[in-house]
Amino acid sequence: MSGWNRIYNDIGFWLGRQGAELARLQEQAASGARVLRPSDAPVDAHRILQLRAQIESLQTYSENLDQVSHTLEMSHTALEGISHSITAARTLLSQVSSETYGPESWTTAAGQIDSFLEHVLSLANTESLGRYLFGGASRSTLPFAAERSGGSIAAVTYQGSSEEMMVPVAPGVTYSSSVAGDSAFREDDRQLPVFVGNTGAAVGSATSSVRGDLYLVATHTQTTYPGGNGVAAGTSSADGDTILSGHVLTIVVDGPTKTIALDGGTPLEFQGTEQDLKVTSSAGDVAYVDLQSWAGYTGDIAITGTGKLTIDDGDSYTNLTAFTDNVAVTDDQTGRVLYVNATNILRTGTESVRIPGTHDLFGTLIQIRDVLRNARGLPADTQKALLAQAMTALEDVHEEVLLRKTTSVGARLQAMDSLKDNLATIEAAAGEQAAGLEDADIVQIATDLARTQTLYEMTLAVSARLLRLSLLDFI
Amino acid sequence: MPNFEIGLSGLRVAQNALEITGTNLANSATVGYHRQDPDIRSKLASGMTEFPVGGVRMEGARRAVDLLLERELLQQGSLLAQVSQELQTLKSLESILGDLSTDGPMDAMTGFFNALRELAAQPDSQAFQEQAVWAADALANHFRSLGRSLNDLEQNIRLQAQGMVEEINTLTSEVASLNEQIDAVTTVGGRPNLVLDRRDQAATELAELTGAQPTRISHAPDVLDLVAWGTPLVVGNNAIEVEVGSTHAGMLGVSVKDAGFYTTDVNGGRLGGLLTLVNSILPELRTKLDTLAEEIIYNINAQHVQGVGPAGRFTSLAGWAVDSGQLDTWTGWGTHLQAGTLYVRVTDATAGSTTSNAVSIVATDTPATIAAKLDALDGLTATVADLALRIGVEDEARYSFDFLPVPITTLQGGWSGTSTPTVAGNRTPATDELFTCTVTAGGTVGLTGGLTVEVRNQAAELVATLNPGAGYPAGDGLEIVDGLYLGFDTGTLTLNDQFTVRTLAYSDSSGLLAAAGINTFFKGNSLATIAVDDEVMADTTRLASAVGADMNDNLNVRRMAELGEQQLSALGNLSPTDSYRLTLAGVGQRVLFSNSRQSGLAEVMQQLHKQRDEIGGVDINEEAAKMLMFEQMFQAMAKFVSSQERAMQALLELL
Repeated sequence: MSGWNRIYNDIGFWLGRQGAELARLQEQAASGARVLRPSDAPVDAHRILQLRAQIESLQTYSENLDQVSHTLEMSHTALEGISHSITAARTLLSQVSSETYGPESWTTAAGQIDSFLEHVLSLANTESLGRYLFGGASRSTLPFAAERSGGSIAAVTYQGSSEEMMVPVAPGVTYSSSVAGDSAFREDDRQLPVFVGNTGAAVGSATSSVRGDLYLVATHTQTTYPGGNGVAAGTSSADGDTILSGHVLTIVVDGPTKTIALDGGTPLEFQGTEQDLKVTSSAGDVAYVDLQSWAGYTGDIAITGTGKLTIDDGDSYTNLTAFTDNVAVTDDQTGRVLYVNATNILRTGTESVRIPGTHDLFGTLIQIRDVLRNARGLPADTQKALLAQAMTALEDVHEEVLLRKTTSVGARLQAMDSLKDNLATIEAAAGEQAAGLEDADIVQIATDLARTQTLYEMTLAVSARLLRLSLLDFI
Repeated sequence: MPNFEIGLSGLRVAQNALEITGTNLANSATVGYHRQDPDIRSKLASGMTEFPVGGVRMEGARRAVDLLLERELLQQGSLLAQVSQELQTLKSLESILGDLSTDGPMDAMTGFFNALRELAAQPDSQAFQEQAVWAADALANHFRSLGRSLNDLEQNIRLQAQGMVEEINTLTSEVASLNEQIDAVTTVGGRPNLVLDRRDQAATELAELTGAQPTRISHAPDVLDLVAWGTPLVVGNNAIEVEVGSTHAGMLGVSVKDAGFYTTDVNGGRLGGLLTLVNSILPELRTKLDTLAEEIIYNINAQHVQGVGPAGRFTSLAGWAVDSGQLDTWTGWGTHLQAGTLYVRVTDATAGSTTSNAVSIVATDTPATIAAKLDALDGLTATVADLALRIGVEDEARYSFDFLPVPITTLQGGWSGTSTPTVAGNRTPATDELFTCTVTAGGTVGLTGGLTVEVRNQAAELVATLNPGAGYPAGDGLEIVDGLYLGFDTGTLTLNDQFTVRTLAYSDSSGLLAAAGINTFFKGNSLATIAVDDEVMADTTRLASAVGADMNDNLNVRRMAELGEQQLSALGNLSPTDSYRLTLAGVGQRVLFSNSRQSGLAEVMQQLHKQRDEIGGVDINEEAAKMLMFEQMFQAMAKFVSSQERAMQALLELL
């Protein structure tokens, strides 16, 4: 027995199924996606979401990489600009230091070096999108602050960070997005200090922490005379004596002639009434003596000159009373220390001190400019020697530090290009995989749609025919 | 003598059979109707003759029904209704969680962690700070919206269940009433087929709602008793009213009206589906999402609290309202809050110094005692106002504070050297480290050959031997371990003098700051309450991207960004993004499973209906054939009576 309802139920059931299938296929065809919601294919949906997140992350990493690349490209360009300036400065200095040019051209060269210095400083303080390229992690603070004197740069201080900003550019990979200027323009291969001068100062036994080039100035404070010989310090002694440490005055009386000599130098005749007699040694050391109380003493008189040392142009001093092998002289501005062996210091004067392997670009250019200007009135030989040293330092900083840093930044850029390619490849692969899982197979959908539609129409047709005829039509 | 009785009985039966056929045809589209077949039997005519003759009689109308099949239909129908109800709600749930084509919470979460990654590239960029904060706000909004939608869904389910119970009570009354009618008819020997059909249809509808199955309690013939969830719903002509309500545990249950004993173990029917959703599926999902939100809030905050943003150190910070009792009574004690040490650095601009202060946090502390401990520190003030911890400074022009986890150097008792060690670097250990540094050969820094400082870790293992003697320029950093440097200024180091260097994984190992809402990034503690902290929202430079002493690094924001892919034990060792993806896929899997189950059950039901239609359905052709047969029977019997009459007439004419 078969029921009329069975036909109706069958029609309803199958039309419902086919309708749902048609709706599903239509949705896929319209959206072009096979998986629209997790329930369409939970495992694939999970994978698609994972791949999408991966793609978005890779895009973020790629943006970070672009940003780092841009900053490093700008840094690279600035470093190349600085390098060109240094090359030009070195060429100029080679010409100036040759015999072809006389000392009169040095002043002009000093002006040009000053221009290079200003240019290099402006490049070292280059900004990109409001951020300094050479400030390390501290990118909103001016990295190199110039202290000026009379309009010229007297000193340049690094106030950026020694740390570099590490930026995530790939999963588990960070790259430095900035260059710490401190390391980009300064040598880091400390060697023993070199003293140029005639004070007798030498390298102390402890390790100094000062850097680059500096001047050690030894000045006189007081000369001490032993009692019992009627000889004392002259009225100009404090400011005029150049002797430091132990020296010997020798008094000889030969009949009516009375002479006094310093350290065996040329004897100087005196009357015994002088209050401020300048006695000069063969080495040029000077002592002012008071002979008013001299009562005929002859022989050697051991005198001792004491003074003070400074390496910051008088901002702070170290008293020089004990001439030991390790006198610490501190730069009040930086807190760094120069250890001086004072055992052989005999006179006042200025020592040019160079600490090889610690030069920075700015200090070296300032030193060169100042030597060319001879602001300290150094002898020509000393001036030439200092210039030669400074040129060597400039060469070292240029080739050992600046060019290396430029190459290093260039290499980083290349590595990032490679990384960027890798990220793009991974992103493309992930995109392809996601599309493979997500995208609808249009041909398959068209085929399924045609088949289901045919079935649907057939169901309708058969149902209509079945329901149209019954025995009632023939009664 | 002609027997008119035969003719008359035939006419009567043909008439009755035609009426039954008509009833079948009229109800051919009636839901729950079972075909009736006339029960026709022959009968001996009165006054026996030499051979038996007789007419016909209608015994009744047989109801074409298979009781086993009907019971199976009830059971499967109940299951299908439950699964359909679950499927319908699960689909709503799936839509709430977000599909693959729209920007849902998944996109917001990925967007937030990516925004933090972008900020790591330019931590001082206000544009990127704002992007990160707005991305966090978008995530919080999505989560809150999700929380609200889940609440609404639960509320709707509860309302739907209440509406369903009214429908159930109407149906049980109808079944009971029809049982009464059936009992009345059967008692007098009648066959109440149509009433039976109506009653069975009502029972079917009741089973779809409740999963109620027939049982035998009242023993009256043809009376149907129904039981669901172990509770009788219909006994004879009595209907038992039920109601829905909440158990003490907040679960939705069903009880006999006014009994107050709510059972939650309800299977079958649409009501079973609703209760399964509201008592099991929804709470499970909500717990997962709440845990996810809580873990994001806690872990981001745990990093954020110790850092500073471009806005720099603080002069005042206010937390959120907390429990005024002991810490060990707070929610989260033992997991996100515990005894530990909070390091607060106070910077004195006048003195040019920064002091690191260790504040011990213990289980018996209360907000008031913690405020007192902080208030006792030089330069700091701390109070509890409106249940919130507030930290400030004594003089805003002079003091500021932070919670940066920078290494701490402590000279041990008896230190007699004139050189002072300093520590530098951005070391980020997974757990706190303590290095003990001992001068094993004394002398002058930068001068004495062989001047040695040994550095040992907590396990007393030698990790570095430093030589700050001859060749060492005072102040330069000597590496102890990766990312940690020691420097010595000019002066002397004395043999056997010791100092320690402590590196911090977190400056707040107790978790107090995050629990009290001090310098937090997010506020709230669940899906429904998560939001970006008001102060960060108002001033994006408060987004704490740095943890280094120089306050210009991006380490903190990098750590926060890494959380997106970091496996968290509270999430079953899944990352937050993976956890949400799996939750989403899990719901999809449930929908797919329910869909498949519904499809299978629908096919079973289709087959059962087919069988029922074969047994009890009305076939128009069959009924038409019967109609012809009974019409012809009627005509034949009329002819027979006419023939009998003519025979009688002929007989009378003979007289």
